[in-house]
Amino acid sequence: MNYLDHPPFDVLNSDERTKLEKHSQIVYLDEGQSVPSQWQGDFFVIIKGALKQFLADELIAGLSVSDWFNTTTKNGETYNFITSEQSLLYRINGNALNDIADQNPTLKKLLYADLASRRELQNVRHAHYESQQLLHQSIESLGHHIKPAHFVASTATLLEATIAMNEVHAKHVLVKGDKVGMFTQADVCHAVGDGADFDTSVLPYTNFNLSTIHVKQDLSEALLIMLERKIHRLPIVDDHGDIVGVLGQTELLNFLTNHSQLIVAKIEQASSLESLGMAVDMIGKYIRNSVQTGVKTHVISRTVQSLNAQVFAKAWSLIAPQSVVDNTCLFVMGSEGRGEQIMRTDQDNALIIKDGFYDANLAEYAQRFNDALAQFGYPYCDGHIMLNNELWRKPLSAFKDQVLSWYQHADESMIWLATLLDAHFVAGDKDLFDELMAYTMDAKNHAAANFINRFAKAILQFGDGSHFWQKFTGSANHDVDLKKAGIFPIVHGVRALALEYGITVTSTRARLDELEKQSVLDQKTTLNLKEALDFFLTKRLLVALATTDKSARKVNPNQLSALERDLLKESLAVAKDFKGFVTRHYRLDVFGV
Amino acid sequence: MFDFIRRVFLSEHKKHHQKSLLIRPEFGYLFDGIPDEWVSLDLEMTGLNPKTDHILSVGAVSIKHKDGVLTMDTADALSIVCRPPVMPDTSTIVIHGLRPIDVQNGVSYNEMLERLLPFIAGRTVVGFCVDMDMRFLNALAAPYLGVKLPNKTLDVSVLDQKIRQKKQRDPNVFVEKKHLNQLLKSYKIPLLPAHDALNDAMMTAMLFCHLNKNHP
Repeated sequence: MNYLDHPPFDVLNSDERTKLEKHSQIVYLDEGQSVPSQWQGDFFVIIKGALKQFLADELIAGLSVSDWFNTTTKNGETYNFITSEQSLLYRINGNALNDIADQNPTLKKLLYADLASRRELQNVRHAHYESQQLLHQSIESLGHHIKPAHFVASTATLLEATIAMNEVHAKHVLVKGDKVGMFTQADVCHAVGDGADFDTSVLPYTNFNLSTIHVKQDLSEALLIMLERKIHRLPIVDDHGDIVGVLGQTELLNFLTNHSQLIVAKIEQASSLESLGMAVDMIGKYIRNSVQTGVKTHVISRTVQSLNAQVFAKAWSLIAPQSVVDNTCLFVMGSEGRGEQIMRTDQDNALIIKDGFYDANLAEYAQRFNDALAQFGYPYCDGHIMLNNELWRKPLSAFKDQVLSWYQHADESMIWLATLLDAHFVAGDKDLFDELMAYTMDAKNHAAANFINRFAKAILQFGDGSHFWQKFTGSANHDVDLKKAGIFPIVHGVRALALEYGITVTSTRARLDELEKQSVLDQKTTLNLKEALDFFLTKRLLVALATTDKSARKVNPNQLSALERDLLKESLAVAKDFKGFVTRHYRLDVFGV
Repeated sequence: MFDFIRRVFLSEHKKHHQKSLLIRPEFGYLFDGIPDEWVSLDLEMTGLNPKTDHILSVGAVSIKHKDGVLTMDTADALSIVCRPPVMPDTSTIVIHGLRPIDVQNGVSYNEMLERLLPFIAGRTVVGFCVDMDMRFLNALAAPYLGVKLPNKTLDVSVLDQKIRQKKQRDPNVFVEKKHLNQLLKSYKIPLLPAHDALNDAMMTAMLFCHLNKNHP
């Protein structure tokens, strides 16, 4: 009986496990059978076979070996489960499980808690694992975080050693005699306190009892030595026993947190597109690193958004002359504008020109800008939403007319409007940007009848049939398209609501906060939506990091752990519920478009 | 002494007689005992009655003396799923875990015997309650060979019982047989996922090695 060793039951202690075994049995269902209603309230783990999960005749998910389920949702609705092949289930008495869950909060969380707290729990496990990983890197991998070693001769006086320390802007120097010792700022203080003569030898104030660490050892070793011996600096030795550098506690902690500041400096210093390209490559490394240290995805993506914006601004200033930069406004849109862009995907950008300003080479600068970004690895936008396209490179007044006509026609152009609504300022004259955005919000009052309903309708564009849910019927290796199934419905539904309620912030999370403030959505809904979106973006990020699929839209449920698969299902269910809410809110079932 | 000779002679005679009844002489080697080699055998059945129930799967692993220790040869193990004449019903599926779709592509009983008998050959068959397994196996092997299987058998539950009875100083205290799971637990044999014939055969083999190691 080791069905109780797998998640979520891996958090049980042996007494609890034995007790649960007593209240469990193996049951068998033939193909196409429903889980009988008298098993209501019990909890199941699939040993062999596969089932489909329905909510009011709607396929929610497919379940396969090692998945677990119970028959009631968190809001008390009842799911229907029907076997898609002959299935062997482990059936656990619901009451016994509840008793144990009451004593074991970790299990309770895993079994019954809302999506948000469940994800958090998994993140804690994950982060713990990842930080373990990070600590197992060798000292060598710290690279520039290691300070070079600075030496003074053993004949040096206290004064000479102190001067040497100041010259290299360090808090210590190494003293080289038969043995190597360390003389630090604290020792300078001791010497001053003792009223020592600074023209005498440094040796009495030098510590020759040094701990060292080998360059191939783990970071965790270094951290342990520092903690155990209460020291701040560790000389690093190579195979010959020579000191090759010094590792400070501060540098170590710096490395273990992030180093996006470094990239900012790199971007600022770039004097050519080529050196800017090197900074862009560092962004990729930063992302990988942050993921490994367990930083939350939306935190990473906000940082990446600001780094990307700085890259774009820098590239624009390297390409266009100052007069052009001052009289125009460059901005980005789409996921880049919402700050939900993690890996480099399509560039969506545009340029507003100050009315009356003219530069004969503007088209050429725009083209060069888009080319440079493509060089950096931000692919061209399929829909040509780029400033090299005249549609997206206009004087302010022309832009406004354009926006108005989009509202009035309410046809395919709505996709452009949707893109524009997520705009985020990058460089140039910000007044131009603010004016256009304010106008875009106001102009909806002149929109065609039922505009907002038609705008929201796009949420159904990926088929209102639940065909992507069928991907979830476990047994076959089908990928779930994260963008279609999860990200788009949430992002676009929230965007439509934001437009309706005049919300000007562009990130989905911020829009959700505003919608909650205006009581459009309740707190639980917004929290679950944020968590679900974060989960999708995280998965997408992990897929992108782990594969060559740079657009990283597909995730194969069968390659996830049972718990992750469960979270994916829950997240998809959250997206689906929200789709239902948007459909009812905008009466999309009534409005044929 | 005479009795002993008569017994040996009779058993030889019996063996010879049995061998002559083989309708498939190519299986004569089953009668040539192989000393110091064993095969741990486990069957999953639809029930407990050889007349009405059927074999669903067979697991077997051989045990040899190697460099003075008993060794199971897991690389050369046998795991066969059979197609029974009647599909298992719900009440027994939950015990052996084999669904109709698991066994419907199984091999015929004759094919199973053609693979299993050479694997066992003249070795002693080791099992947990091995008599039950042999009754089921003979229900198929007897019509196939013309005689029952001549192999010696060894039951680990009896072996364990004898060992513990010896340890028990008071001869009036009767030592009970233990269930397989109890045995595995008390001798700290690693638990493989249950209800899989090969896994059960392996755990039985480990138990056999363990008992022999400490009480040769």
